[in-house]
Amino acid sequence: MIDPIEVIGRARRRIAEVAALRVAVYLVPPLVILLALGAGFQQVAAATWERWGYVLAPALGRMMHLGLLLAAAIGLAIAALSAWLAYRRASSFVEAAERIDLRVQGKQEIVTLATLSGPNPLPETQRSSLFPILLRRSMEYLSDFDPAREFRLELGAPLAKSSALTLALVVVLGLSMLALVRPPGPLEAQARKLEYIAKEISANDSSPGSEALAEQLRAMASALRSPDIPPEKKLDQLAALERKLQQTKTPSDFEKKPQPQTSTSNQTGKGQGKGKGDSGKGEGSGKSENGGSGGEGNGKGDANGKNKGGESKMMEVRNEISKTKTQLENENKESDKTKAGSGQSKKNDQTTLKPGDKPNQPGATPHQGGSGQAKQPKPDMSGRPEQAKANKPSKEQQDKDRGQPGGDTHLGQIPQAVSFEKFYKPGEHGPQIEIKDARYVLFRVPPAASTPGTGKTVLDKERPTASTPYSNLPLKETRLQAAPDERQLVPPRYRDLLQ
Amino acid sequence: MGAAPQISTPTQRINEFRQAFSRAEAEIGRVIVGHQPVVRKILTALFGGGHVLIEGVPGLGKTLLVKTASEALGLSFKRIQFTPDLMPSDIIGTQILTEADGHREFQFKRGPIFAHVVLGDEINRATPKTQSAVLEAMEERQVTVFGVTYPLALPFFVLATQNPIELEGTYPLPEAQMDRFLFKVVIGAPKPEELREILQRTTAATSYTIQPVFDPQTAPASIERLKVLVREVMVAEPLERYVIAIISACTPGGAGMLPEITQYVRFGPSPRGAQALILCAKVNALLDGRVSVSYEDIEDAIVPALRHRLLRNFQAEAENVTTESILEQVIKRLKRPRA
Repeated sequence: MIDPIEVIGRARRRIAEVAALRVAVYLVPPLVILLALGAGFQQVAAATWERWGYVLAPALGRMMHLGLLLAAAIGLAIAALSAWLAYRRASSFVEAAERIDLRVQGKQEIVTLATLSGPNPLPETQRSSLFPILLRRSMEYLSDFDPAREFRLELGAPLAKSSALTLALVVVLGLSMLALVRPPGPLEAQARKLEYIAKEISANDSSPGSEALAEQLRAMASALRSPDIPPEKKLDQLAALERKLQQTKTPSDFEKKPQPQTSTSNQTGKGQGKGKGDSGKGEGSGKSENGGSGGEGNGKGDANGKNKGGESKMMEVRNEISKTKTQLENENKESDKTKAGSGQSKKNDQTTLKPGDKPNQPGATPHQGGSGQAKQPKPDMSGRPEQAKANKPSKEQQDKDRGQPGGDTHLGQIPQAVSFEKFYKPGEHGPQIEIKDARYVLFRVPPAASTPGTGKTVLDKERPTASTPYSNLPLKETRLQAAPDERQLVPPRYRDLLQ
Repeated sequence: MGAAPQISTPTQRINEFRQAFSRAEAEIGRVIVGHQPVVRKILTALFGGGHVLIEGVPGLGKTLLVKTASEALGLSFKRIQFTPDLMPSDIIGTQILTEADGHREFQFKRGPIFAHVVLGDEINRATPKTQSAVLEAMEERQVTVFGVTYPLALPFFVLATQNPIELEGTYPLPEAQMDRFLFKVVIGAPKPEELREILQRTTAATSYTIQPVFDPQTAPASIERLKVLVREVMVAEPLERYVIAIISACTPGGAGMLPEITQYVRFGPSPRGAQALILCAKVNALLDGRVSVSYEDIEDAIVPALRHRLLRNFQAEAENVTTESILEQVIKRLKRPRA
């Protein structure tokens, strides 16, 4: 014999559990998305840089990372609270009885029984004489009623509902990412490259020297990113890094195995003479005492075999440092220009080339002994200091090599158009003007001469006369009576001028 | 027919109720063609302990229906034809001076109200004073004449009829008095096949005799016992709340009021409306063999129990919006409450 009240109680628990699980399932997919994005945000941010060349500002990235994790935590709390509330709401005894009635087609007989003998039952003396009939009928209804079978946990509907929410969340997060990423500035790009190299160095070699170098590269990258550090300090830091690199025994620092002495020949050849930038060769006047090839740089190093990876990495580091230095100097100059007044800038105009003066001039060849070229082999500083000092290029020369405008344009300098306005003094003749190519020509009419004392203004008959007929531009455009010819390529308002 | 058997178990009582009800329906159906819903509502009101107002044009068999019902139930029957000059004493009865053994004394002469089933024919033709005399008896189940109270015999069942046309010279029942009828049922015109049946039955030489369901000697007691059974039917709390929601929805300014009510109704049903719904639902449940009320039982009672309790406003009358259509909208739009 079954107890209808016990069955209703079991159904109530089952209904409450299902309700709580449905709410939880509804909220799980968005939470998973939030958690996954929060946990893997650094990777996503790195992918935007590595794959698409866009970066997320570190502060924004940190904020978004934290925001996602916080949102996931809040979502988790909301899901738990919602599930608990759903459980509470669905754990009504009478409601469970109503739902059983719907299942067993009971016409509110189960709910009547639940009302009369549920958690707050009527005293038996107050019960209707018909109550036993109600109880018997309810037992018949519930004889083979299994709450777990009748109230199944169906995940389809909540998941379908949740998918819309998840999709909306993904779209919002994607749009947010699109709105927040931007192309990196030159310095930031350099910083990222340095970080990347540092990462590769750390991954390939765990020797203390390599680790120290990687750490320095990271510090340099961090400094480059920081807007608070002035460019001068950054340059100083960069110079220190460069010095460190020059002092580093290149191949041995990247290889755990000790390197033969011949490897030092790789460092020879920072010549004062004929440097050939990208070829990586230099002919120095100071020959190496190490029995090297006297300045044959990389080629000799390659012969070593094992040092090839470390060597190329070292070269890459140097390249990037050189680029960074150039960028920093440009930035420094621009800021100086901004600071300086217009008078000062006038003064500088006489000595400094303006951007665009030589837009199409090919990049300068690497200077002898210049440090601006990335693959320029360096001299062996340990060899002959005096000679090295003597070979050191002058400051002016260095400045010229540090990416002067009109020179190396691979750093993003865009050639500017030359102004084609030409003004000639009376008597001067420039090259012949191809007037058919000009859109308009302005002539400067010589001023009238005034006779001293009389106050009269007379025309200077001695003035040079134009051999080409000219007329001043009309003050007001005369409207042409003729209808414009559609085939006329010259605009009507220029017709008179051309005639 | 004989003495009512001693029935003790609830199941037997329920079976007796169902059998009596269906037999009464069948007996009435032998005389009255069609109108089964009307017959069912009249019997429901009888077992629910209420009175019925029947509305219909002349010639539809209202009077015959009531007379047949009383015969079928084995109850005493009186008919009062309401006219403008009808006096309350003509209904209730009066003191008559009588002389016996040399003594003169006033003796109470009982009026036609002293019957189990009273037909108040064309009740809206009597003056309000006379109407109120009947309506007082309906509610109190007793009459008072010259300070003496005379209880009416139970069951006391009033079936009043009124004609919706020929309204000149009539006194429409006030809303307060309409409220005392449990149901208002409307008799419509018979269908063609029903009309043919009516012709065959009423124009032929054969006549039908009614077999009373209850023994006329024990009929009042049997009916009263069944009325007690009806009141023992159980109602769950959510269903009580459903009834309250219906009444509130039909009351202007009530909680959960519907737009149709605001637009067309001046006054809503009183608590008697809710009582009528529950009583009718209980009878419906018993007829279905159940001992507890369902939503369907309540919804079946809404129109007959509330149609005369909604007081339409001028706009509804001008637009010819009936109370039935308003109530149908209420049934459609009102959702069953969840526990």
